[in-house]
Amino acid sequence: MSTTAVTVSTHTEVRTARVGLWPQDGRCRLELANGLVAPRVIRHDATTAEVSLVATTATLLGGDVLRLAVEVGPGLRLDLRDVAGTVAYHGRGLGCVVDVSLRVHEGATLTWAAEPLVVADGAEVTRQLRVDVAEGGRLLLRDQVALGRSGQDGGRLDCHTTMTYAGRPALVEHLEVRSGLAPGALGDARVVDSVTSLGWRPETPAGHTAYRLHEPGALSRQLLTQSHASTLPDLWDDWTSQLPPI
Amino acid sequence: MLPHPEFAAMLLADGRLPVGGHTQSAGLEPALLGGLEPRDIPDLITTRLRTVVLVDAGTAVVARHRTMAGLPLDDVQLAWAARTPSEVVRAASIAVGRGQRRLAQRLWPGSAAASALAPLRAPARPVAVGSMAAAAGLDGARTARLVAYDDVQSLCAAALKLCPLDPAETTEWLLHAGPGVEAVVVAVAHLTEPDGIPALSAPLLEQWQHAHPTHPRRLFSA
Repeated sequence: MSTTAVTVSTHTEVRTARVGLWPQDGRCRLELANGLVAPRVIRHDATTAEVSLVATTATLLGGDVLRLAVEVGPGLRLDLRDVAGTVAYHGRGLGCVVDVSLRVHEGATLTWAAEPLVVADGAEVTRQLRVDVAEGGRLLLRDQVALGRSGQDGGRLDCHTTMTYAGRPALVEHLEVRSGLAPGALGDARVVDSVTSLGWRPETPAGHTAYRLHEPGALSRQLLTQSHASTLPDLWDDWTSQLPPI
Repeated sequence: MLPHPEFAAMLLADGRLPVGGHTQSAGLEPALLGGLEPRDIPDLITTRLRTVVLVDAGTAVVARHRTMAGLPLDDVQLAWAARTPSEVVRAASIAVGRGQRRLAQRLWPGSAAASALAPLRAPARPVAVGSMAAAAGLDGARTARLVAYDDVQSLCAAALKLCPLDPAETTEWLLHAGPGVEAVVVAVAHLTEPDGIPALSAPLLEQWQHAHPTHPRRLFSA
């Protein structure tokens, strides 16, 4: 085994945080489980729920594995939000993992306005994001990653993203985020801010740019030196307002 | 009869191949219009070889394998499209891919490549190149090297039209890109499955290329 390889402790107990929304007797049932994040119900009615995710520890430290599984049953709508951003701290030689799985069933909608994942100096983060949207399902996802707390260069982040729509690959990406990459990768950006729609393709308002995915979906991404310079909150509001009612 | 593999590789890597390669700058014109400093062009080659070229070379290798095995290319095309989120970047690749398909059908009529490419509505360039490589008898490594070499050579040739440069200098860039090209070959030559195609992205390159059609004065289509 290489001595320079970053290892993730296998002794850490990994509990998967879960948010599931399922149809039951004409209403819907929430299935919740705590992990390194804990779901808190904000609102819950016959067909929709709003849930926020709260950190349960000083996430993320070296060796941590943050697992989150979200599933929205047919015809229901879940709005997920983070209470705060996540900081990956110096790992003292240990990497950490963020492993997120989102499943959206037929006719269901999932929105998640995720807060930033900040990669501090010395942090080595691997993020796996797996998204499966069934035919007729809709996803709207904001995803922000940032290098370094203020005054830092930041650590290393590898984002592996696989999104499918109706079982077909829609967006597959390995995004490297770190300082010192050659020209054309990130430029002088410290923040990568993205909003992705999948299963539907909203109109892009004037002043914004979005890629049209080959499957129904769109990706708008900004590369920024300061996260507050992002105009994606406006795009988020605009696209959210275009989601058809459940 | 198959041509000698070295002859076939030279034929397919030739910039004079009638597939419209002269319309491509391998992302260089978009990069310069986007603000890349000409002195950073050799580093841009490095970034491309580590990211988008890996994707294209991997796509071509899998397309070659599928063609040899008599399998359809649809899922290779889908895997490539999922790794190429900008419709502008996809369209530029498809424009050349169509030319490449026409040439494959002319040079190797009735081949497995001709029939594998025929049903695709809009073949991506690396899908068509990989399938054609199967017809020409290239192995996976030669196919990957062809795609990577062609990308660097297209960029170098475009640089001469876009910046005041000595042609010997861009040839030197190409030579120095050799180890980076071989790293691509090592990374992808063995691939057989669409899911295994690398997905490394270069977000800034992508933004520059996506914005390219909005610039009023362009020499290249991509």
